[in-house]
Amino acid sequence: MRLRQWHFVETTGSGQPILRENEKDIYIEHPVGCYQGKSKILGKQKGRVYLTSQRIIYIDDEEPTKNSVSLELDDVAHVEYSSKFLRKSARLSIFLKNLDPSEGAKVNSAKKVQQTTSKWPCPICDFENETNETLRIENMSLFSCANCGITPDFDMIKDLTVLKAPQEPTSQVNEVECSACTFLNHPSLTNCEICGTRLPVYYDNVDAPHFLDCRIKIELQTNDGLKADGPLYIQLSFRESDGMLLSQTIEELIENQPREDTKNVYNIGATSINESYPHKETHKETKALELETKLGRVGIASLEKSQEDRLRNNDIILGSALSDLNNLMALASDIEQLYGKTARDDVKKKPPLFIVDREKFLTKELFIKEISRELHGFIMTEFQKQMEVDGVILISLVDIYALYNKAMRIGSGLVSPQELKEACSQFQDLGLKNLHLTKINGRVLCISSGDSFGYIKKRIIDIVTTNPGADLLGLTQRLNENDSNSWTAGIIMEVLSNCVSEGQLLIDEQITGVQYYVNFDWKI
Amino acid sequence: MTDSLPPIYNFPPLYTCQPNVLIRKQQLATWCDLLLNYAKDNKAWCLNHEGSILRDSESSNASIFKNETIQRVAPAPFIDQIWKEMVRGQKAVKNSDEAYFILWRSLEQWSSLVLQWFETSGKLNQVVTLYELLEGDESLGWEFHGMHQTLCELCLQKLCDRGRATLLKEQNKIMGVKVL
Repeated sequence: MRLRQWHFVETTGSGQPILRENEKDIYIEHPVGCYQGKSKILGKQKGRVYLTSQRIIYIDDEEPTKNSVSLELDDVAHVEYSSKFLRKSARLSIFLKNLDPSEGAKVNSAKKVQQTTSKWPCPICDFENETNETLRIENMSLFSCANCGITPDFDMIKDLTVLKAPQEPTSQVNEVECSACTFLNHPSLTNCEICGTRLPVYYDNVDAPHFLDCRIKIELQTNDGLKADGPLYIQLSFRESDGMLLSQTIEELIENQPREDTKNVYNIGATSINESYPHKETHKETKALELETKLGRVGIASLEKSQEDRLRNNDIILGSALSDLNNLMALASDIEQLYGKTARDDVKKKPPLFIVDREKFLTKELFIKEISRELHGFIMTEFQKQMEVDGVILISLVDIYALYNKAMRIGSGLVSPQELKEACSQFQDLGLKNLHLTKINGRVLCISSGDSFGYIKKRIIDIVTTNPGADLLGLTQRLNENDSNSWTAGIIMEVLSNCVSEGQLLIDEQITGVQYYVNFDWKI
Repeated sequence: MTDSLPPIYNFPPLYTCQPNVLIRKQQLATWCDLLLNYAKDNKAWCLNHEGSILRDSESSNASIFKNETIQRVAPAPFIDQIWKEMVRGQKAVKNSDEAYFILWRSLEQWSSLVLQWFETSGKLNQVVTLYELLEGDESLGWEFHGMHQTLCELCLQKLCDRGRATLLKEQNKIMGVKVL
């Protein structure tokens, strides 16, 4: 049986999940296997479980980009924990809410009450009238021509009446409004694009192509024994740890879910001032405007009607204007508060940060592994440009230490040089093959990709060949010509001293500094 | 004075002691060649430690270790190394504390050249003063003409060792020579 509750999760190249807006990570468990019902899920037996404020995310150790899935916490009804028993490892059963289609249908049927308009041509002036009424003999009085004002006979127009299918602006109907920020999202999205709030999902749209995500691959070992009407559940099996902490945290999260949901609603204050729900208000207004524009636009008879409508409309507008003003003031103070709150950590907020906190890990080893992943991601994004231009990177560990601690670790506990070194030496074990820790000149630890040392050495010798007498400053400038400061002076210095000790370059020492020349005369 | 030296003389790294040992060996060899060339071209028998030519106990300010064209000077410790290398390779002989004889020919070559002069000019079995040998008209055009006296004594000593010459001393100072 295919569960709709599985969702695809996007991961970084280094195997960390990409969080949504406003999503916060809470805890990480390792190593964990995934079961659907009673059956093992193939390819999802060894991985990490990240618990965030919105999701339970499984990231596979071997193929993080393909085999990772997530569960929305909103879909979880309750969890049950069973401890280790003989050979059976500790497990957490997650019972899912039965996705009841009736709820969604209700919403949609309400939407479907649409007025059908019929068209009929006036037999006298040939004007094409539009009306919302259905044509019957009893209500012929309603069918006076809007242009000439004459009511035709029933027999004359009964065959000419054309029922017009209600035209729905399709794009608008399908868009899903976010309950927190009112942004209209594309129907395929499950969470708001702007603020990350979970969107209401209409499950009667199942046949819509977006719903079944083909990126999710669930292959079961045996029959899972789940029935559509029975309880749906999946299990997480803890291979080493007892998983107590994770279970408790999930339980707590689910309990607090309703409270969390309402906490972040953006214009929560505005609703209370207005007494009525703001969305209703807008509906009323548009309805009034519709009356004016859609029907009775022409003809003497309708002029009076439209005048009446306008007067009524003015009343509504005037009435709502005052409440609007109140709303505006409330909004203004809201925004003011918001500014005061976010202005300080504005820069940091840009990407949804995945915070690797020491406290979330049971053992130091797990922490180091997670740091290692984060470091990899950090280096790959930070030095992306250099990677594109030169194809290789070479950064001293000291620089990484400073960069990483300043950019990522403030507020979540700085890492020590020792931890950083351990994390870097784990790249290979974690399958992050494109970076490795090297020691250049037998003393300076560097993060390098490929044969970066050979590459930079060749480039330096090339530059010195064309510019005999180049110094460190000139070389640094030449290497970083494309405005990226990626080749640091420290690294270049090391490469130069390597070239000198191997005899490829000669030095010319003066008070002003050291200049470099290619060794043509004194071959070794 | 340094115009006739090879172009490497104007190569700036020459004036810095190279850290690589193998390279430094070649650098010192280059310096030795330069010193020999320099001394030969300028007929400088004797250079002081700073690389200036010593003539009749007066020295000029110009030094081979100082390159005015590219504004480079070899540092003193490096000059010490160069001299050590010169002496070790028997391309120079230390005269006093501050002066070196540059041997662009080895002592053996000089002594056989002197012997050749004795043979061709028919001075065998005659007593010839050192002044006559080095400054006299008869040795004009020979390469050793104008050689420093102390250096000449060293050459003649070589001949003595081979039993071809007898040195005539007066008050412990070599005055003349008789070649058999």
